[in-house]
Amino acid sequence: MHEETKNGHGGSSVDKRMSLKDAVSRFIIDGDALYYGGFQTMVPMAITHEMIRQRKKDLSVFCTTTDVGGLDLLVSAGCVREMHLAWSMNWFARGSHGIRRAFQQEALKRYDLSNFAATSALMAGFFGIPFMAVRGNIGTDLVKYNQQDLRVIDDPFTGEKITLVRSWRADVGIIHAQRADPAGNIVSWGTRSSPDEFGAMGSKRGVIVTVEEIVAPEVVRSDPDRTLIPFYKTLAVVHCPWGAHPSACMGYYGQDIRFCEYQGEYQRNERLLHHFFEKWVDGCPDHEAYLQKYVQQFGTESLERLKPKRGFRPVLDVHYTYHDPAVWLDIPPFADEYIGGQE
Amino acid sequence: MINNVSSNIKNISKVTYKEKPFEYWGPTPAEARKAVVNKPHGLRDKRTTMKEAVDRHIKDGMNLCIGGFVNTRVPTAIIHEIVRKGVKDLTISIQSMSICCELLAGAMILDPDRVSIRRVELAWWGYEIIGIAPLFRHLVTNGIIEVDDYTNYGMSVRFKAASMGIPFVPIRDHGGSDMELVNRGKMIECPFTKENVYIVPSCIPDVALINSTMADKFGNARLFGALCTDPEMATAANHVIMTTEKVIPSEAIRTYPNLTEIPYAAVDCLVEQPFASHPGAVYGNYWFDMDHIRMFRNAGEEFRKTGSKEALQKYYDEYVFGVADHNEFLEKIGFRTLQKLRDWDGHQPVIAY
Repeated sequence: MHEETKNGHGGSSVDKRMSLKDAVSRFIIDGDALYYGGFQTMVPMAITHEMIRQRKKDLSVFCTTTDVGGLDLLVSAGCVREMHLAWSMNWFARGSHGIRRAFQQEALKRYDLSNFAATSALMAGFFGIPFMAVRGNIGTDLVKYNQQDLRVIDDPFTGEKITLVRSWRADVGIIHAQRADPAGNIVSWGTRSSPDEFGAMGSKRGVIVTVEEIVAPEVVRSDPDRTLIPFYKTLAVVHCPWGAHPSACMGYYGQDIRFCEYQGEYQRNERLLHHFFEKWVDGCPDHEAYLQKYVQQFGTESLERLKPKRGFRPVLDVHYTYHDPAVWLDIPPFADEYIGGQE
Repeated sequence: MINNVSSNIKNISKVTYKEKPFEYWGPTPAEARKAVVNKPHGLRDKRTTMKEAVDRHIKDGMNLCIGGFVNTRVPTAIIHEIVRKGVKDLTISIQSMSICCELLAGAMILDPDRVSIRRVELAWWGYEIIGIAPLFRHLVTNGIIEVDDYTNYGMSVRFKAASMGIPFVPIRDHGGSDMELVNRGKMIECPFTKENVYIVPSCIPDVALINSTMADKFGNARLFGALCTDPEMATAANHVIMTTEKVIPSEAIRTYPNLTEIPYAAVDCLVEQPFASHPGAVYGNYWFDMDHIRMFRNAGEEFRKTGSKEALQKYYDEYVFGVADHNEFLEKIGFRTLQKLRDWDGHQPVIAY
């Protein structure tokens, strides 16, 4: 299908940097199952806009919880056929109006389950097992209306009732992160979507990531604990500052509440929504143009306002040094009058 | 609604096995849930003495989980105290273990009225490069204890499932091999894919014994080096007795919360005890005391080969019953040896502030 898929994901020396346009057109195919990353922070908004620009079709979406209305825009633009998720909202528009309209017009299949069940589904996909047992959901209509994802069975060991949630494995994952190296080792920290690790690692072809900064591989290796996704799972690395705007990205910017409200008003009013697409999505060739338009309309101070001012930077000096087992090579077994070494 | 299915292995395999009705070898998930909910969860000073911790939590017939991996970060100090106190009819659940299990087995061989093991659910019990475990071999070949055998990954996910509070978890190994016949897992038909999948029951211990690299007085613990499934074991068990090499201030825990591997809520008793894993190793603190391990194994091997309990009895009289606590034990080991073990560790990096 794709060269990258045929050849695996290349070695750690393959440079996967590319433009957002290339990444979306090469790696997202109409009809794909998508892992939609982020939570209330780190929503992959730049990728969402690009998918709308390219009018991707028939996507099915796996997601746990998503704020700031990115998924709602994607549904309103007609890109999504089916979605499995626990919660979606633009908090400041008080509802997912596009999703509601699509559902009411029967243009969208929607499968609902609890947050924990959704996380468990992604975790099962990551573990490579077909399902996961969960407590909860039992005794609710979630199971009744979502037989696709949930089943109640008799526990084969004890005979008690227990819910199973099927594993979710998307074709492609889309996420936003702070940093990555050109090969696609993705570095992230702070409050972020806990399922991003599961969703991205469980995706079949790999993950497209937008990052605030591209860093050298040595920087990634110097603090290996913070690598969220290793390079072999990454399809494309897109340098895209403010790629999660209007949601937040720890260490770079907070949530743009006024813009969420502004965008939310368009989402609420179906007859106005096409103006939003014309102005902010289709009217911008890329995310940089979107930002320029934002600064033109709301001023640089609106971006400045989002810059982080509180919190701290760790000063911890960590040494990743280790004991060299080679020191044992010339050491004979220890012995005394009782112990004669190895028998 | 769910079908129990079986693969052909039962017809092919030459392994002898007994089919028995399923039971949990410890608390059921429902009992465990109740026990954990009823546990006090407030921040309180958990520091206590080894004697009191063992007296309070170690009871006959319980499922005892021993943390650490083979010789790494094993709770030897607590095991010594348990042997001194005596406990009967134990079910042991481990990942992979050497000296700690052998200490209990040796005590059982010397005096079954003091310590006795009924059964063990495990991935592995042995001495790695030194050799197989003679006392375990004696107990199993003579049919004295019952064994429930899983793969290493199998035991890890069983603890993980228990820590998640779910009763079982599907797994891609065991199935289609003799492993299907030697444990309590089951082959079922997946309700979603209609394919066969092996499921293993979660492993819920009554008490887990953990040694941590450092912890604050509430029990928030940091582990360095290999984690050895300890976080899963600690959160799977109803109660946790934890020894720690060093108690650190709570402010340190709050400054670097990402370093906390075991949260305080899981821990019931905390005992500060340097060299609590000796003769095992603790990353960043001390290396394996291979001489000591070999000496104990040789005593066990002598018993297995000749039936003479003399060397074994001598070991216990000197190192377990001959001392009042772990500090006295360490005095017998001697300062020079301990200092050497610290040096051999190479002062690997740990973060203690």
